[in-house]
Amino acid sequence: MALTLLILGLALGTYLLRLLPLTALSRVTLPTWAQDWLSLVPGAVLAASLAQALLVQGERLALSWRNPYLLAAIPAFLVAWRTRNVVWTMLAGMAAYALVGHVFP
Amino acid sequence: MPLTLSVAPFGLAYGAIAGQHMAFWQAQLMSLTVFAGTAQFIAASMIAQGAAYLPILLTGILINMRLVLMSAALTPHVKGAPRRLYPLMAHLLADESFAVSMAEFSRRPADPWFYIGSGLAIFVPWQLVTAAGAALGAGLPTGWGLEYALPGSLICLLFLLVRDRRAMWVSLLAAALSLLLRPLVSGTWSTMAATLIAASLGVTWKRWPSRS
Repeated sequence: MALTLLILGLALGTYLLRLLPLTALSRVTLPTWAQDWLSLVPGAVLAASLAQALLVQGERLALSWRNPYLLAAIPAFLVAWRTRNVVWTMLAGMAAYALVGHVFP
Repeated sequence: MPLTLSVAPFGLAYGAIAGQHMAFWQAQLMSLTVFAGTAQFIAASMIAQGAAYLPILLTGILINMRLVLMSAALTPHVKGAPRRLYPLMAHLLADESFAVSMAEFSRRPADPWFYIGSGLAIFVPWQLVTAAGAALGAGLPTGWGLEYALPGSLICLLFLLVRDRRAMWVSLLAAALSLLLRPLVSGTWSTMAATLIAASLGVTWKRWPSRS
């Protein structure tokens, strides 16, 4: 239930962001620095989120080279760089992660 | 249509992740009502990491704030459309439909129906591929490295989004700050705090003329 409300809240907020400039605020222009700032936000969120996903295990920082999430990131980065395809990158990461799990159980 | 095919990998990946952490209909509800790939990804990943709902909501809105810019840029081109189409046109605004329409309107007279068509050419396949991804994600057994679906896709999205050196430094800074701030700011607020700081420093960086 709470999750459904979260989804609908995000939907409502996103819809207003799409609709308001089209209808009510069509004459408002944002300053260049604000546009610039907004363009940097998605990459920063993704990177911060990725850092948490790779390096935080059970509320602790896991900087060890035996961290399987970190090891699997190496092939995933290479595939992302070569293919720029999300599905291939995801599969490479999954395969590497499963493999690492067998090598260092 | 290449536009339609371009959303397939993202939709599959989002569906595969969301399908593991919420009900199928909730994953699909998000595709129908939020209809914004990066925000859906981040919301699903934060849910997977057990974040509180308020930071998830605010982070999602923060990512989608760039829609304001796109909406404002599109407005003069669709002024001729009937008012009753505005709610529909707003919902179909996405990176892909925006890019294709702006390219078209720079060459030919603006046509709201072209924009609506390009929006539907994204919206409909997005629903289909995210549903397919959610079915796959829920169906795969554990032990297939499914825990890595999320970090794996984030790695690729990062490659696609970060196009210049400044964006790369801002992203690295955000990543480092989010880890450093973790003990200070409770839970997932650190992602948001790190983003705000890193993006702000990134803006000032551009003002130094010798760098680029």
